[in-house]
Amino acid sequence: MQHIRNFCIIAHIDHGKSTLADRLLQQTNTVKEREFQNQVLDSMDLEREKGITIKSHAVQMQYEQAGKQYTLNLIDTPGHVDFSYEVSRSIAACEGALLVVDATQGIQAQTISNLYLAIENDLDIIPVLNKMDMPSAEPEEVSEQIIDLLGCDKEDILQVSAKTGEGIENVLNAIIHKIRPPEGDENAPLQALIFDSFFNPFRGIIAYFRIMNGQIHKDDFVKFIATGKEYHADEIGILSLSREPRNTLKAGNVGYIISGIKTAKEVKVGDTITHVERPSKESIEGFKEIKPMVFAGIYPVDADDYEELRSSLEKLQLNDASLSYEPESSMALGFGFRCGFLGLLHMEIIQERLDREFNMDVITTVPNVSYKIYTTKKEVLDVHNPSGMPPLNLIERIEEPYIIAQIITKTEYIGAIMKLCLDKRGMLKSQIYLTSNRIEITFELPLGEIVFDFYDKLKSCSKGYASFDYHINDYKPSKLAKLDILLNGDPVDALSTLIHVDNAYSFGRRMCEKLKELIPRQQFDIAIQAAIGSKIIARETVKAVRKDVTAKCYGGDISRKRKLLEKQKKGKKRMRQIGNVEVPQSAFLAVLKID
Amino acid sequence: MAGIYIHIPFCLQKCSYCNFYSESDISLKDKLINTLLTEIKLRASYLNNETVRTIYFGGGTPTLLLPNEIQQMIDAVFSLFQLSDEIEITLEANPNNLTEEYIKQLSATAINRLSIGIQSFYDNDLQTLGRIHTAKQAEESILLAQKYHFNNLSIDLMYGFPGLTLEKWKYNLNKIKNIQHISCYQLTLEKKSLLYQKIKNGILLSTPEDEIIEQYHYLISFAKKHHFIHYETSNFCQENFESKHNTSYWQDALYLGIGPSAHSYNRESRQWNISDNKAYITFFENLLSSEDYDLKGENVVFEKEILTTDMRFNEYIMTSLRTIWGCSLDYIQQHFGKSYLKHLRQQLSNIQPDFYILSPSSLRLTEKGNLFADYIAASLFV
Ligand SMILES: Nc1nc2c(ncn2[C@@H]2O[C@H](COP(=O)(O)OP(=O)(O)O)[C@@H](O)[C@H]2O)c(=O)[nH]1
Ligand SMILES: C[S@@+](CC[C@H](N)C(=O)[O-])C[C@H]1O[C@@H](n2cnc3c(N)ncnc32)[C@H](O)[C@@H]1O
Ligand code: SF4
Repeated sequence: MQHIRNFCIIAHIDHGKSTLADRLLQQTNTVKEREFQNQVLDSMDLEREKGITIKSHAVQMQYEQAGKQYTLNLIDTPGHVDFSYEVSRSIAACEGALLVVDATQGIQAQTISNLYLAIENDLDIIPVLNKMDMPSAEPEEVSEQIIDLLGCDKEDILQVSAKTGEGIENVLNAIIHKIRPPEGDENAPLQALIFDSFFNPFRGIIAYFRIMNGQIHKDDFVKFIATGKEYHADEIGILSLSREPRNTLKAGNVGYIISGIKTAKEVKVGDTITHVERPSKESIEGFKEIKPMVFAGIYPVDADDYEELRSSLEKLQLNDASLSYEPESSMALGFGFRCGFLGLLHMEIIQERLDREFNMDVITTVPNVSYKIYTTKKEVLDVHNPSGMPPLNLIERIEEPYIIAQIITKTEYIGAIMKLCLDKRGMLKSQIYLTSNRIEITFELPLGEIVFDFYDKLKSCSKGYASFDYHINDYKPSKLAKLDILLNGDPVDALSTLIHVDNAYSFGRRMCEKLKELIPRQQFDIAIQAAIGSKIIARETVKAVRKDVTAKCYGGDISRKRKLLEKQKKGKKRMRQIGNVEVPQSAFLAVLKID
Repeated sequence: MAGIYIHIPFCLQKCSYCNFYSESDISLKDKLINTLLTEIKLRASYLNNETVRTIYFGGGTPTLLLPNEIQQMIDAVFSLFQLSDEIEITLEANPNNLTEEYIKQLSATAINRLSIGIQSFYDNDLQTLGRIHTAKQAEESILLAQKYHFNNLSIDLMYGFPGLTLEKWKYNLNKIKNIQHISCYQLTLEKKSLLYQKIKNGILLSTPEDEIIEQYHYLISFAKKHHFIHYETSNFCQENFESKHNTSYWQDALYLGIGPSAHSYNRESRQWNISDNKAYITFFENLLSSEDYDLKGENVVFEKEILTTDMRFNEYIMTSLRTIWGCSLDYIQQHFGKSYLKHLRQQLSNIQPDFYILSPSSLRLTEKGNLFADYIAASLFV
């Protein structure tokens, strides 16, 4: 155990986490030069493009120093608040962290909240200035910032270039000498923390764990404490670049287990693995059941693709347990699914994966959070779909989920951020100055307010210099209304939203305005109305086309014009017929972006 | 039945709205005429021996050519093609070129139809439009044409452009109520035109849609009052004075296009010559002097689009619905097949009933439907 080091890398997007990881793998000969395809760790395309490691991975390296053989486990962490729980579990599996900062950019706010998480978990932090090969590097300035934040000595900060490989030795050195070896009792009952899981089409679910105490052997009978399920350990092993089976793994190490588990739902990040015989009495602390918090309908653009969409979602769920879905139908959009996500980014990722990996064209409806509705019959309903709202006269009260949000930013942006949070019905809880110009603001906010455009707004009003982290707090009474959109008098269910009464009027108005922009003129006038119950709160009209004919149509014009009209016709085919109105797909999507 | 279009790619001054291909440098004129003659000879087989019913000199500005140069080309066509007894030979004419001397010489050629591009009888409009002629020249050219017995005369007018009021439009129309044929084009704002730039930059104000519709409605009532037949969206004529040439475009007839940018169509494909006088001339020069070039080869001066049945159907719908005759259901069944007929019937259900008239033999648009011809055509496309 003395020769094991478990660490993660904390870095802002593009500061060089992946490149540095590659260098470490190279330097330790984990990857041969030949097998090297850049950035080995980010294996999903989507991650690479988004610059976010969506799913944590882990990799083990062997490194010899002064005649001693060290085992280094690098545990990768995702980088977005939607996955903050996963990050916290990855951090809990480590003793140390590399804080990688781009020397040309300086420390970015988003890094700070993960860094605090690491400090809270008592991790040994190794600050690393990356991109030192670049002429624009400002090591002095950026070192100041790091010292401010960590209270470390200047000499502790390593200067490297992940690109040229300069200084990588020092990083390995620091990992060995500055990060403490894991502690734990090899002879105690087994306690292993699950920090990630992965779906493999041939082997089922592969869970990644860190052994805190005890040991695990191939063919052991194990139990997952939170789910209470028991399995046979068909295969255990370590994660080098590929899986390498082992017969035994002991406290302090990181590994994987394959035990014939078919669906991701059975493996919960944060759960503790122990033995069926001689089980550990306690589980590792910090386990939380993660529940989808944001819900939206997903419909196939082409109704014929419904079954294909179902099987695509099924496959996605195999390796993404936090995705949930159930069938629903809409008058406007036909048959589809109500899906639950961890947050908006998660929703975007699912949409993109449907598109890229399954080639599915989908329409996503306005997202909603889950509300608790107390009826006059003393029932409590979980409603996360406007159509699930009982009639007003049966509702006694409604409660909505609130979050505690921590925002760390520079003092100059306080004003703008305060205003944003207050506009979103937030309540200020505390303001703490971390340094003379860095502040932590804590707000209590309705979750429903951040599912729309909160991130984008926060980013723009703080020029990107604000880190945001949240956890669900509790439910509180809410004045909720169901806002309907009507086209020529017909309600369009796919455009209905649940929204706080105070926001309903302006939202309804903006919705009508937006739809007016997006719905093309047709053969007759189209009335767009926003209504709460039977009360119309906003109205716009799309005037009928008055005229649509080009002047000339001779030899040369014919091809050109045919192509133009063919394009129009294609656009029409992709429209949804609602009553007698043709609504383009873009209308369903654009309401998500309403300002 | 087939038509021949000959494009004369020169204009001394480019009009502000125009997107047709022409060059202001006329130094290549003689070479170009020779090349046109060459192309006529080399492509004589394109029309499959079908009888040529119309020849159309369009532009650009065909009246930049001398009448005997025009006659030379007519002669070439006469010597190489099957001709109809009642061949229509049209010349697009710009008023400033139509001097008495010129018209006199024209009347000695085989040209039997003159289409004069007047656009407006107001000098300030002509300025807005960037026309090279004056209102006075416009009026005189008509009188001269009539004097020399061009009694199949056509006038082009435009409406819906900046500065044209309803009053001026009425005046313009009433000037030509005795003419056999009129083409009234609503301004199409071409992205590449000067006028587009000016409107975009706020120098000129585009006409509101309502006013354009008003001008259109006036045009319709004017036509009725003076017994013009509204036989195509933009075309009106006294009885029996339809433009045979243009009509053939809308009725799926073959045509051979000669000259830079000209389009040809033989029901299987449409092809169009390069819009570049120099390249056009060079190509045919090389073709004559070497073996490397081939009309079918790779380095040809035209682009070609093979037309699928769907594409042809769409074109037929698009063009024929603009005419008073509408699209013929028999023709669709014969040339495209029953399934297309079925498709047409199905799609019609999405169109407002007062936009069209469906008889056992044809589908036509009503006056109201005419205003939506493009929308309706697109809806009926396969
Ligand atoms: N010049 C220079 N570029 C680097 C260095 N490290 C990373 N990069 C580049 O910075 C960009 C982002 O790096 P990447 O490792 O993908 O960042 P990540 O988002 O933190 O994983 C890539 O274009 C890298 O090639 C470095 O040390 N020097
Ligand atoms: C291509 S021109 C050639 C004839 C000749 N050069 C002339 O201008 O009189 C034929 C007619 O097309 C019309 N035209 C050209 N460009 C147009 C546009 N952008 N919108 C509407 N009509 C147009 C004009 O009325 C013009 O008389
Ligand atoms: S409208 Fe006629 S004269 Fe004017 S530029 Fe076009 S082709 Fe030439």
